[in-house]
Amino acid sequence: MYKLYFKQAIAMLKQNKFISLIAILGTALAIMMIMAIIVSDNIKTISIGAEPNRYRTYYIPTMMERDTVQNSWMTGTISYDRYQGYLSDLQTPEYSTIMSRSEQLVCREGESEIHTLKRRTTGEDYWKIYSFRFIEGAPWGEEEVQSGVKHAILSESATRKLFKGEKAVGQMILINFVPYRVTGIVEDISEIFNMAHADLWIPYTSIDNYQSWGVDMLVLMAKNNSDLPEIDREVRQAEKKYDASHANKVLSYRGPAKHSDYQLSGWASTNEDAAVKIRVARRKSLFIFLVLLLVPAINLSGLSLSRMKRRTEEIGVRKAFGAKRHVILIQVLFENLITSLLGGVVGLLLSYGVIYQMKHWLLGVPEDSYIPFNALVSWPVLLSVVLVCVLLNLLSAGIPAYRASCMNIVNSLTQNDK
Amino acid sequence: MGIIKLEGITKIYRTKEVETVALENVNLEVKEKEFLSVMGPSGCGKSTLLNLMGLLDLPDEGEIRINGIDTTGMKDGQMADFRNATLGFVFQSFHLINSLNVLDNVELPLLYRPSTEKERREKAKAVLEKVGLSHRMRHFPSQLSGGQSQRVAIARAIVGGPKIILADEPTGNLDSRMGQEIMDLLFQLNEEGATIVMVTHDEHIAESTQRIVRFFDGRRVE
Repeated sequence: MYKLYFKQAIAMLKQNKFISLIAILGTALAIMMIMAIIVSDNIKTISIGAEPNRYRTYYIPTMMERDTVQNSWMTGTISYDRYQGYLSDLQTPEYSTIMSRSEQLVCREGESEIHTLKRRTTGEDYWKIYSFRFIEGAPWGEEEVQSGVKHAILSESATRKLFKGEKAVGQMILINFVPYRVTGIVEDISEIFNMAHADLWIPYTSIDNYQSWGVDMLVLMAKNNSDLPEIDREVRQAEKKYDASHANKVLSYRGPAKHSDYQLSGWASTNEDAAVKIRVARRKSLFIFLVLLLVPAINLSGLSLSRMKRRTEEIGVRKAFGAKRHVILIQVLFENLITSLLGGVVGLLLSYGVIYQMKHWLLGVPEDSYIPFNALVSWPVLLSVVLVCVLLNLLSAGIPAYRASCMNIVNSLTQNDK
Repeated sequence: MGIIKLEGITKIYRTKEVETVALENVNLEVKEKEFLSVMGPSGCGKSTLLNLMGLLDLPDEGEIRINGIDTTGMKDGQMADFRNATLGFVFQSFHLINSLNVLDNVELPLLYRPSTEKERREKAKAVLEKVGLSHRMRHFPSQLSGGQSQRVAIARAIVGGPKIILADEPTGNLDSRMGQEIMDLLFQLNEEGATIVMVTHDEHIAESTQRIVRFFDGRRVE
């Protein structure tokens, strides 16, 4: 039966080419806008490329310390001692590392050409949490981090800038006028992997007085994502441990936050603050999603109604020969779904174009950043487009289909005779 | 006992301002395997009668029994199943679905009962053979003549093996030669056991059937 519905839907699309084109384009534009948002969100959260463990990676980005006597509080990034003394020995995470990112002046030793590069300071587990392809050399290990050796790993593009095709591994560079030896080169990664991306990486212990610097982020990778409650319990225990040894102080770490939640909440000093931001962001997204879905659905509904009007006689015939109401309802929705799916494919392709053209605005990455193919085309994205098509179909064709199913048979059959 | 029995049937069409009595206290019995013609001037209620017999519309008063079953109080879905199993319709303006080819059009009633695609195809092909249109089954309605369209409509009406065929002016849109071809087909179906009720304006055609009932202003007059 569905095969026949499909044949008929295609035949009708061919019969009324102009109307079909309008319907498909209308659907495509609606789906383009929605999918641009969904695909952007997917790019920020999907576990692929350099960040293959996003689904089980948690972040502790900030802390708040309250003085109960003076009734004052201090918020900011985690200080090194609050990390080392209380969070460095969490048992549940498989890997954990601290990391900071900043822009630094970098040049090749003995040369005057200075480049501004993004530097990430981090520990040895960083290379296990994130995924890099080493062109030369290898990541540093625990010993190097403990010794504070001044070793640097460069990205391919940073290597090109600094060494202009010459051999880089083993050579010296100056980072903020401090000499470092290049020990590895990794393939460039897209800036959409904002936790992994940098131009060069050094052990956090290689910075003089690193203990006095704050930590931008503590990254925890669980063995699996069901470990989050246990990790959370450990973090809360760490807070209590601190509070017990510091009179009149109450420490709160913000997190552990899931990758997707962290993307939504951004800078937030407490979990409560983050929860509010996440709630607001989700409501905003839902509102935008509904507007983007409902407005075109109402427009397309008018088009569906006029198409149904032309098929009044056919519906009368079908009902005369035994089609029940629900059968007519399903047929109309199914046929409309074909149009919606065609529009969905076009809309998805258009949304890729929109994301590519507006990546700075949508993803917060520079215009020249590349987006990996598997970030654009993935199962969540394909399932989303189908779901959006079904939703749009139900909203735009639901009422016309219901009205068609309720038509009086005699009136339907005599429609053209009047 | 009649295969169709109408008792005290009244049908009134109502708009906000006007009430029109289409049929008033009509009693009629159609015997099994009978070929009955319904005649009368335009607006006398012939088509309304056929619609009521076909369970396409509901009477305001009276009882309709078809094949021994009282249809009063049947639910929408039950009536749909009943139409599908027992009744076949032939309309004056064919009412073929333009976006489906001949074979798919003929297959239509079989879609609404349990059957496989293969079964549907075989039955549809068989009836198209019977109406002499097996060579046209991949054509679309727009590619057929009036006579051919009506033959497809007849094939569609009989594909489900209904006991009763209700034909509303089946030759009304055809020239006399094509009209005769359609009538020959209906006579053949009647001979094979189908009960046929046909609305017609054509006295000559009506006279060739077994019985004529005449209507005037919603009442049976003969």
